[in-house]
Amino acid sequence: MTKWIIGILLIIIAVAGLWWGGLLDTIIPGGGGPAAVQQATSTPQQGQQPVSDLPTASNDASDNALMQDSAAIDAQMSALVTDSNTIDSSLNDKPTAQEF
Amino acid sequence: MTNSKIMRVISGTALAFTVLAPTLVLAAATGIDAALNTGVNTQTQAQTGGGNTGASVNAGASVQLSAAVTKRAKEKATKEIDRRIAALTDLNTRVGQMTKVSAELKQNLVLNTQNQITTLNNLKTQITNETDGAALKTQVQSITTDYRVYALVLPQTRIAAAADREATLINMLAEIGSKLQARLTAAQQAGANVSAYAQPLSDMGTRLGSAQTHAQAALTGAAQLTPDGGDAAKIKANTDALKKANAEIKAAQQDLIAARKAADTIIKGLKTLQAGASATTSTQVR
Repeated sequence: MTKWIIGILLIIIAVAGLWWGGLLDTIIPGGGGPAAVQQATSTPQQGQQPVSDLPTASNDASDNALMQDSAAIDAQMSALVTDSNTIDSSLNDKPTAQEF
Repeated sequence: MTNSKIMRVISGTALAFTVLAPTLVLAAATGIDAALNTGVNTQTQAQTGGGNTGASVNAGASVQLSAAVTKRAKEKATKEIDRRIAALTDLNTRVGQMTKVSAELKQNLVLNTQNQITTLNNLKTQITNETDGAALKTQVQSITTDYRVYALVLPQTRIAAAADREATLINMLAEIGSKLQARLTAAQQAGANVSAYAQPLSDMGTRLGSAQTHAQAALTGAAQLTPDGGDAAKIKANTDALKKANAEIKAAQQDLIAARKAADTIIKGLKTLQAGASATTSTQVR
């Protein structure tokens, strides 16, 4: 009788362990435990809408808005040139010769 | 009007951000952190060992350095350490400005650079206060050893920052493309001939798609690298990978320049259309 109880307990612990580790999800979809849930939250959701980066409203296509948007884009383009130059200089970086 | 072209790219841009993030998280978790920890541990051990050796040697054949050599060694070491700290501090500021990568990646990049700064500051203090010749020599030599980590972290993070800005630009240009598309559609419905701007609009879409591919490749190619540890084969592999990633950044940049130019063509065209419409309206009024 004791062996049966121990056996059942071991099975319960094993199933609980699989659930906790999220492995159960591979057998039963939706049956994943906390680990599976955590993993899922770290993956960005498909279809996620990017936040607007333009200074004007997304539905504002007026001449004035286009002018402001263009200026903001040009500022970023200019900053990208700087970014690119810093990559070049970091790839060509040489350490100062030391005494030893 | 090829409406589907620009819409397809806008959709692709949204995907770019969801694609960029998981790649960065994975790369940072397996690559940069592990490498950095190795670097820090190695250096700590070396410094501890160096100090002990110096103390034990002192009893017998202690390394004697002239005051002039010691002074020169400390000055050169401090200069190089300060140079690296300045570059890493600047890098940390740049990482703080990144908006398109995941919070996990940003945290990882900040941690990496901050750890490097802390390590360098500690080393600088040790070198400044060191009075034993052997210990000073070991500490100064560790500047060169640790350079391998610095030489990787610097371009690696710079490439990530540039890719992040390119992602921002792709987003911005896709948004303005959508606005231009709306304006052209409205002009077309009002009877204007907008056929000359179908191609620039289509080009914008194509170029933004290409920029996205290149920016992604740059990020993926650089983020997964680990310090070479002095291994010649790995030094070459890392150098090649960083150069390739840099080429991808530049290719994306060229795409963005072309997309911007196409947008400008349409914006100027819209003004012409407006002028034409005004003239027509004026004529009709008369």
